[in-house]
Amino acid sequence: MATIISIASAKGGVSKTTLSVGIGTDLALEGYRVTVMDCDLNQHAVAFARKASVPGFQVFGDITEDTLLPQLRAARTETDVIILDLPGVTSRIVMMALQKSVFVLIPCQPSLLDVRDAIRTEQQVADASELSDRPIERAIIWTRVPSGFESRVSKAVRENVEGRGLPMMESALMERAAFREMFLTGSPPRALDPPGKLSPAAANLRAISGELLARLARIAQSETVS
Amino acid sequence: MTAKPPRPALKVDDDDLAPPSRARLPQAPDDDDRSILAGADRLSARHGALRDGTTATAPPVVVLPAPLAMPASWKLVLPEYLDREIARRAADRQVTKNFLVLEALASAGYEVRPDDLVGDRRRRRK
Repeated sequence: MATIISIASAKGGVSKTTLSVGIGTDLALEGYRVTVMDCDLNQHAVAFARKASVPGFQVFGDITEDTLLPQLRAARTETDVIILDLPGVTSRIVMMALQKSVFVLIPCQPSLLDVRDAIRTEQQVADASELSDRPIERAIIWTRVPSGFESRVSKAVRENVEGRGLPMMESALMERAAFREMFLTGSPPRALDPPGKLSPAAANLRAISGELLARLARIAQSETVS
Repeated sequence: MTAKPPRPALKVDDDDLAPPSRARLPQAPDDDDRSILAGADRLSARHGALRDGTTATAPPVVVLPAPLAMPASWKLVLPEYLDREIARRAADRQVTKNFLVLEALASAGYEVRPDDLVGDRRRRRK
């Protein structure tokens, strides 16, 4: 039986697929069996999978409202983690996916436009949680954060949002060429690193996956307690 | 001079060689499809969600005006009294003489498209 993570945002271009593929391959390299379900019309995760060869990592494409639930049922017995790469729009398939999720990761760039949509998505998860009558954990993750200089406007937006009590990931997805390269080569950053040494991009994905696993472990723990 | 504390024994434990422990992952809910679909409908209505292959609201249908017919002209010869009568009625109704002629032709059963039946001298802009 698998755990289901949705990567959701009502806005496109916020690195949903980069996170789906990056986290998915990182967890696969950690020994988990990972299935990414590409629910986006653009099918970028599918394109990545055509080039990639990571043991334990697979991508299902062309997921629609009609196929999502059957595909989830089919995949959940033979995989540990299912990652739903959702379309960057508020759609019915997103509403279905949120209700099936254990955790929802909401990517957001530090700009006011992205933040508006991230808050909207967070509200949708809250509504799905209320409707399902069970907690659906979620967190906003900053994406495409420059690894060097942070602009005044980014800092102002980030600090303002972080001060509002929204659920936030501590780790962030940095802006790195290696993530763009990943889609060209089909190789996640960690697969290219020499043994025992992590490049900054690989270390970045490791930090995000590690935090995600820790959060999932806490959810599993709380389920046991309750 | 104090004796150095003994150094710990160099020993490889089994735990050192064990594969990294895997996090225990929570299981996804096992709700039935009908409740998920009903929930999706409620959430979709609340948040104005799109369905597969649809847009939020159908784009308005733009009705383009029919292209104006190319104008044709010819010289009309008619009795002066009739010309005066047409001019008078045109003045009364504040329309052109041309309009009255087209209107009469339309009444007689000729096809005169509504766009071409312009009451005053202004032609419709394209």
